[in-house]
Amino acid sequence: MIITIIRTIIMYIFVVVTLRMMGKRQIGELEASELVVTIIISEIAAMPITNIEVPLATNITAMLVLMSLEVLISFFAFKSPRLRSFLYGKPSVFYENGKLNQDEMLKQRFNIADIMEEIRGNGVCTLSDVEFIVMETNGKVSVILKSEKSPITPEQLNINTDPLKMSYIIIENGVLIKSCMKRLGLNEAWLKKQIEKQNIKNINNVFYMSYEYETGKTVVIPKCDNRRKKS
Amino acid sequence: MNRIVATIIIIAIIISVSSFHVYKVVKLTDKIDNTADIIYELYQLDKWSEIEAELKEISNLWNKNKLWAYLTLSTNQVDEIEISLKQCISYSQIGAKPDFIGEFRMFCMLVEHLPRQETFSFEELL
Repeated sequence: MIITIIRTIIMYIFVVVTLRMMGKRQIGELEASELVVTIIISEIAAMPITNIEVPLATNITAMLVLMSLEVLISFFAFKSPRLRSFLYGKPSVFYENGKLNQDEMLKQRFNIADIMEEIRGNGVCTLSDVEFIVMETNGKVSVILKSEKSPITPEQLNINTDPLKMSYIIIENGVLIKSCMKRLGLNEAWLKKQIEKQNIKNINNVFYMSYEYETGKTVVIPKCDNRRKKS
Repeated sequence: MNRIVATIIIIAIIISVSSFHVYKVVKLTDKIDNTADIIYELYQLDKWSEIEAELKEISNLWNKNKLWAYLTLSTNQVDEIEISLKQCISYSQIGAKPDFIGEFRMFCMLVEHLPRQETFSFEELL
């Protein structure tokens, strides 16, 4: 039993490290090959946990080799568009200029019901409102509306808008994020002043604090009373 | 870029560890093979005490390099080799000639299989 527990911990660490090394993309955004590699890695990781006769090193090596291949291939695909289209394919255009590309639909085994499902999912009821329907290389279907049917943007109405403001977290659950402070050019004296404004004496009592770089606006949320007592 | 560097380092570690592992396994089986030749000669001459001494030498050698075998061999495979070796020692102690030679051949075959399993061979690949 102890062996199983230790093996599980080791494999958990390796799975987390391997998946972190492979990148941040979510399951739904993975290319087919990336998805398959992720599934194979999880299968390999499960084997030595459930069967203690299987050597750990063999499975870890297999996982690391798969991860290395995936990272290196992604790197070369990033550098070479030709390699990228060979490995991950090209987007398939199902609908363009008011015409359905039936050959492409047949190739991707995508029928008219699937097309209608996708356009309804995008809040459109009829094909005549659509300009393009494209299946991306990761299998997602993009529905692009005709320009006259697209939502109006402030730019089209000549309305001036404020630039988007990014908010940075400085304190999270009583922990000061020093790297963020350094990046924003803030110091401890400024921070102390800000939390004192909210009648908070200690950083440990701050649940959340954010800072808007463009405006200098801060948001401070104190910890609730019972949590404050504990800390 | 850091990810690529880390990946290259991982690949280098995998290649070096597996090369060293193969070297260790091949060296171990070569040594056992040489000792086995001596044991076959001693068997013809019925020198059981010397056979036992040689088998214990094999046992020491195996114990020293066991860790490398455990890296890639299944527990069953390792157990089979160890049980076979212990059987050989027992048969040599009581001088059971036919039983010993059968078990010793089996042990040699189990050990001879290791380099084929660890190095590249089409048979194993397929």
